Amino acid sequence: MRSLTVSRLMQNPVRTERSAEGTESKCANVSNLMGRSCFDFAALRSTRTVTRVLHDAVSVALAAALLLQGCVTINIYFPAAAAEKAADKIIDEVWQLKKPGEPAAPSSSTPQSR
Amino acid sequence: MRIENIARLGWLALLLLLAGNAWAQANLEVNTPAVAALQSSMQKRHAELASLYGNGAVGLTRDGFVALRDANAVPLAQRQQVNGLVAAENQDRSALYREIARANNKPEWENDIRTTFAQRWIDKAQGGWHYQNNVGAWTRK
Repeated sequence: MRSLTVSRLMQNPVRTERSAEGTESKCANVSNLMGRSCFDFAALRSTRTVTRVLHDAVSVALAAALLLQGCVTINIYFPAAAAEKAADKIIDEVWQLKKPGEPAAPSSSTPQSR
Repeated sequence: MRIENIARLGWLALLLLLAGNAWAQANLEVNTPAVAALQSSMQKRHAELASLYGNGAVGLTRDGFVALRDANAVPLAQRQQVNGLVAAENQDRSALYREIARANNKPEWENDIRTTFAQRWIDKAQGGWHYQNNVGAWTRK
């Protein structure tokens, strides 16, 4: 019984490193036998791959955003809402529709916007 | 942990870029000495123009200017003066649209600015004033 356990222990780490597939079951066996967790090389490798893929994805997204920003800066469309706001401000002053700070002119002699 | 940090940084950068864009479009620069001068000149002229808008002699055009609409509403002796007022007002308006576009480093926006103003002049006009509708026909507000 004891010799069998030792031989398994000798074989298992080597096998674990050699093949990614079935590592889990072997690790589980080793863990059971040794009473502690075994290092999962396949899991480590896959984590690194995920990190690399994610890093690439973020880089691509950033590059796309920068490119888009460049395009937007060159061919920026007309800001209609901002222009309306500016127009309202100027028209209110030219036609004396609103005094600055006052929300609305209550007197009937002042031209009212409709 | 590292993956999350990288992803978070990426999102932050993206959001900052978008926010920067949105901020740049939130306002149009109109606080220049030239705009202020035109504004005050038009404001003074409005005292004379207001009654002409009121009696229908002068109306607001659909392209952001003013025009003599009904010459008969003006006594013969004053027609030349009214023509002068209209011409001066249109000169100021034209300069105003150009100056706003220039102040924002976008001379190509002049037409869009003029169109925006055209709509807002009409929207803010008093009841009884005349304006040109979408097809150019004079309409009483």
